[in-house]
Amino acid sequence: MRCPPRAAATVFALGLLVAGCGGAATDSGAGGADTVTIAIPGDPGNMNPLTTLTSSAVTMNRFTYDSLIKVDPVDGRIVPSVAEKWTTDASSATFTIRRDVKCDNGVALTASDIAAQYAYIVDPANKSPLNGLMVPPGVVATADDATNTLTLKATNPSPFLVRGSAMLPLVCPTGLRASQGLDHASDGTGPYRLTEVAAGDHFTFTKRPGYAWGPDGIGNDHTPERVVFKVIGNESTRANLLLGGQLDITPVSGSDRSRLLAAGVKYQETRDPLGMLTFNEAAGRVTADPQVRLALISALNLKQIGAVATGGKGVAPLRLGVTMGPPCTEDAITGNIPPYDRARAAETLRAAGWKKVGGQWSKDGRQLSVSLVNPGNTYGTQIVAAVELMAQQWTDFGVKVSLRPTTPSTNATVLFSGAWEVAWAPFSVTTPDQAVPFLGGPPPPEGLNFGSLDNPEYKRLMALAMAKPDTSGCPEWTAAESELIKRVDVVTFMDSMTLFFTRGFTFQVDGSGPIPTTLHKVGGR
Amino acid sequence: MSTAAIGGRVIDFRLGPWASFLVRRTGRLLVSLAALITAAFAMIHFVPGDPVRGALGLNATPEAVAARKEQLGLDESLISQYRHFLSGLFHGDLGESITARVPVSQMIGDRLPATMEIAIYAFVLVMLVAVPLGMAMAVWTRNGRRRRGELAFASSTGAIVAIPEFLLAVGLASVFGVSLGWFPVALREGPDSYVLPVLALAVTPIAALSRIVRVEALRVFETDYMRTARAKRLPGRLVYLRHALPNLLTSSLTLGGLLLSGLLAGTVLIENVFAWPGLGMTIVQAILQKDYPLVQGIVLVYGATALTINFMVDLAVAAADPQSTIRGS
Amino acid sequence: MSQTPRLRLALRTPLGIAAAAASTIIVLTAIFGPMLLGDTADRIDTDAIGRHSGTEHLFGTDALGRDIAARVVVATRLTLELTLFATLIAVVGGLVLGVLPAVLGRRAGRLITATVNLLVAFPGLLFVLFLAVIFGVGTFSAAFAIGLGAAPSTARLVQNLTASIAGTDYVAAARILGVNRFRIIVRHILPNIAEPVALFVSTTAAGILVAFSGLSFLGLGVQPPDYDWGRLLNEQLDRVMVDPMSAVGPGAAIVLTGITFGLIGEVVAKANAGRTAPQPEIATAETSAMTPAEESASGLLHIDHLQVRFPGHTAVHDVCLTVDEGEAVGIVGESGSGKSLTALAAAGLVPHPGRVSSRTMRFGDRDLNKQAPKGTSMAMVFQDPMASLNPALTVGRQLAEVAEVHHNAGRAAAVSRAVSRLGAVGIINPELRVRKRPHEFSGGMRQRVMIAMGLMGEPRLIIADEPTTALDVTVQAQVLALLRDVRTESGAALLLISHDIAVVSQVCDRVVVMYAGRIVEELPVGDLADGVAHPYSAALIGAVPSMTTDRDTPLATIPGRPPEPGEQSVGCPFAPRCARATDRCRTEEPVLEQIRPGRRVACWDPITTATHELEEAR
Repeated sequence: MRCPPRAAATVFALGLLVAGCGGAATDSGAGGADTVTIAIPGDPGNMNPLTTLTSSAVTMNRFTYDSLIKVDPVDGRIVPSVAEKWTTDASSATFTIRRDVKCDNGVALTASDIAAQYAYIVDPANKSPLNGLMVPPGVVATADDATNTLTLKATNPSPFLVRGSAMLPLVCPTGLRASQGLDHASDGTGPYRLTEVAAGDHFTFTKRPGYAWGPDGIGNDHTPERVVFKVIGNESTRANLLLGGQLDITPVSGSDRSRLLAAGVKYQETRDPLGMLTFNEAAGRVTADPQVRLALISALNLKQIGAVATGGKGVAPLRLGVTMGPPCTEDAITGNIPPYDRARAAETLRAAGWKKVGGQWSKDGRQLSVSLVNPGNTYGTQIVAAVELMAQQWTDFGVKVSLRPTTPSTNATVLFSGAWEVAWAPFSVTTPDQAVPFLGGPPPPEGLNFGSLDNPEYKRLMALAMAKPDTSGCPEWTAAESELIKRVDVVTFMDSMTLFFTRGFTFQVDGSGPIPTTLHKVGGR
Repeated sequence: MSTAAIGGRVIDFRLGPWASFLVRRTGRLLVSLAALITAAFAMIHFVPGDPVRGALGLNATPEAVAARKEQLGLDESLISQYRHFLSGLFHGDLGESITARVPVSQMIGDRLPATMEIAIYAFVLVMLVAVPLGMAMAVWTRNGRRRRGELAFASSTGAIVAIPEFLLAVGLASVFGVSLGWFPVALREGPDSYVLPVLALAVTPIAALSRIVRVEALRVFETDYMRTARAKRLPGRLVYLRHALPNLLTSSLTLGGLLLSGLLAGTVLIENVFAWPGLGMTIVQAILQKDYPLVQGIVLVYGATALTINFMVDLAVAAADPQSTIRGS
Repeated sequence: MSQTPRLRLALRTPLGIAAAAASTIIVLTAIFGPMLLGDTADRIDTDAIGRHSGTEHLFGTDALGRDIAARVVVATRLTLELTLFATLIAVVGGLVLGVLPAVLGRRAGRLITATVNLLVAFPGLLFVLFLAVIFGVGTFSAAFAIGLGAAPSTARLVQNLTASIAGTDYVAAARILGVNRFRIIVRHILPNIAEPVALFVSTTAAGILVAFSGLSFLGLGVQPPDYDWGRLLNEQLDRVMVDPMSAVGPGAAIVLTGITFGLIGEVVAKANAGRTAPQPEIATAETSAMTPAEESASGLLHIDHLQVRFPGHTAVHDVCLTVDEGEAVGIVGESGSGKSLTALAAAGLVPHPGRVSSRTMRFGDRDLNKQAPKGTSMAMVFQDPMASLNPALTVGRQLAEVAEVHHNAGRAAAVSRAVSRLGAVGIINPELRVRKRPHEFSGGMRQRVMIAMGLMGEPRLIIADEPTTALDVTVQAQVLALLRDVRTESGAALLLISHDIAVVSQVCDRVVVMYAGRIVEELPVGDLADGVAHPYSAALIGAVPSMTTDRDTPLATIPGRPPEPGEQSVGCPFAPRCARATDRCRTEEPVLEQIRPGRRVACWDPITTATHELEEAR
């Protein structure tokens, strides 16, 4: 806390003195010599790793909970962490757990402890929200404490069992038994311990001694003594605080980045899918016709729309929904998206029996009209502008467009209702198999395939890929995704970049934010 | 007005006008609260969207969504949900937030104080500045004097009222925080960090209220009792402070009460700009995410606060001007 | 005065000029903006995305490279339409909900009040969101939702203002008389709350302007491709730190329009309140021929050539008046005759915008043109004892402060004097009554309190302005008796103003008759019975029924009406109503002349019942 004597503060002497200055004095940096202060945009609400799914909580819980393995954000390589070795095939994986992994109470975390957590999550009685998301549905975990090995067996093909295990925060047995206690305190094996929770304001983490089971066996000797996360929703405020020295690390994705860049602030980048269109191919929808989809996409200048959506700061995607540390790195997208060509679009429509009357396409007396579901303001005003541009390009082309903005709570409801033609609905996954329910699963209400996509070629290639563990299936995954793009079932045309600006620290980021063991204070500021 | 015979003795329940006014008003407060809760419950259920799906994300399986709904009791009929809500309320249990999975009472308890703090400081500041300012302006421009001053006052307050709150907040933060560095840019750390949020919250109401106070004061100045006060050759200080001020309070307090209710709502953007750990952003998020239990809890707290403020304003008005209030109601 | 001229007057102030100019500019922009700049505003230029403000683009360009300045101009129309629509809903809703409880039955009124309180307490965001959902997301529904959302707070203000008006006696009286409720609202309630409500509405309109940007923030406001200032502002919000000018553009439009709303509110409030704007000063050459003061500068109160002018007319013309120590002088006349203003001028209490001038105005040894009367030496009793006592203060406080201020009395001493004075004016249980507020007293008791207030000091002159008019007959007599007693005891002089010559004749030694701002006759009370000299005085007496009046003969009334303020008259102002008027009366104004010691009259042809006396005097 900063408590310099300032004359103006006495203006509000009305009882503010109670608020007083109780914090430790600091000399440099936002939170002291050996403290790093990191901004998170949203309030996590709940820190319990067994119940929370909010991204803020996931970002912070990585400081307190380890996972079996980690994935390198740059090359997608699997690196050892709590598990030192592993073997896998397309539906099972066996991990050898390090013997020296210790919980807060000094007791070692064993393979059977981890198996118990898997059992807890998949048990329907526990109604864990992690089931099916962090853990493949129906996975069975068995442990052999003699060899300290953990075996996961999936009922369905699960080619990314090992890689996917990076998502699951490992909870110590004491925490698993009394999971209520995890709301405000941590019980994991990570490099830090959660020591203070000021809900909606800040969260303090303190370094644990003797930690040596980070990625590739790295310890935490070099990392700061304390990590303070502060909840700061407004991006301009975050930028101001960083410039003013009240923050050390903050994500910035909007216009304020130009101020920070101009000030020479260093940064790390993360990448998220943003420009992603899904067509509704349910029977009766005009977009069930591949020619119409092709024409609609050809009529759009996606490069321009993507540039507007990201303020010119986006990059072209290479994969469908997988961005940071992808297992498969080949380009499945570029070259498969039909190019911007309005003449070709018109030609396609004509060939399909559409006529342009009075500047408006129609067929059998029916106007070509699409309803465009979009995130509205959820991701900021740039998307609103991009959606407006998209609608305008279609309108100019002769398509009637009605916009359907959604909010976080209505988004899924609207998508699953099926009453639309095109949806601007980005989704993000860590492995290609996680996208299968959206792209080839059963449509709602049974499943998540909200566009009722039914691409036989995708399904065939995907089935082949599912049979090959981890990256060995990459050629099939790439081919499968390419098929979706070619047939214009889904189109992903722009990834957005979030910059993690920092003053005085170095670190690496992945899709969940700064990686704890990479935090390092640089000498002098 | 009733009497009852207990143990042969007649006990007079007749209450004085004050006491019966209090009883009536308290009763009304409780009825209002009940109506408020029901309205909040009904309204939030009319808002479309699926909070569980929203909280679990697009990736969650339909089974997971169904399981969570069952866990929250959202698969039951509205009537039985309402019954559960009421019975929980009766036991002091506001339920659990759908998105954050934390007891609502805990979320409110954690965040409300920060919001209340700046709202109350801002309110005090508003009353301390706006009433004297409006009065001073009335004295200064009374009887059509200083028309240019009047114009300047009307336009500057009009301008301030029309400045969107967040522009004002951002402006304050950038001038006094970033450029001059007099106060912290944001965050609730130490007494000086209160200055900018409280100012940002108070400036607009000060402008709005001082305008109304000025006009009300001018009206009061024309009354017969002010003529009487002048006829008594009292010094100006007494004429304005003792004779005019109390009569201004009726309308000032009414508006002040409205302002305080408004201040709570105004905290939303201010908290966003100053990264203030209050309830403001939580409300917006809760409504957008359709987090029923949280919305209901917040509506209850805000509504109770606003109704209590109204109640206190009515009491204060009754104390200042007993004639119209007590007789009139 | 009707609404229109008042508005015209209000528009002539700097405030009015500014408001008119600003609203003209805005309206013109709204009309012609879309025509002139519509194409520029919609031109997408993806090569110029997010340009900073500069010479090419005044406020920069938006995320689609469109010129923000042009969009601000074009958005004026939609913004204005939406704001006015929402404000209209808020005001109509607020007025209906706010006024109804005052005129409906008790039960229905209470229900409405409770509903409004509930709505005010309800978080506005949820309310607006709910309405937006019911009406669907869109431009019109946003306006509707915001309007309805602002209605409850307007209603609450109106309710509180109305409650005080509805509680007043005249509304009660109107209700008892069976005046229909709608008329009560229109005639009594609305005009009285118009001013604060107009102001509140102007503030609300500015708030609504801002509220649209809040709704845009949530994605519920005006939907693309339409745009209002709120949406434009919200779009530039995340750039505000990078290029402040881009947000300043729409922000400034909102602020300037907000100022304009504020100014309009002030002007409308002013026009409603009838606080008229100043008019060109009346030429000072108007001063009529002044006769030099005949009486020497003797007496307790001496006023010489008093004029009270208001913009557009002179209310009191050349009045010369003297009150001797201990003397009781009555001024009678119809309303508008200037009698009250004469008294108020003596006390230095002429209301704005009246201007007082006189050759001499002396009270005791003080020149009232230079100084106020000394402390408590001049006491005032006004017509409406309820309105004249401060409703917020206890009676004791209002009495005691006189002693505290003027006699340096301690609080206790002051209160005990207040108790004794209240006792002296016949208030029972004064020890208890000092702690009460005026509304707990009856009309007659209040007037006694006013008199007691005058007696807190040692008054040398009591000015009583229609002290009994508002009281019923029995109480009138008591108060008059009290005034008489007080005078006997304190030896103070009395200047009693009344329209009722009978009242004056009961209490006073001398009567001054005023008509159209002039003294037309002055005579000892004893002479009233012998007959008066001025036809107007005669008519006034004739208008007073006495025990001897034959009940069957109709009351003598004065035909015609007194001149309107500002009406320029030539000759005797009473001439048009005077049965005895001659050509001379109509061309030449009579001068107040002494017809014998203690008697003066301003008439070319005085009534001659006392002709022989006149002759004797000559």
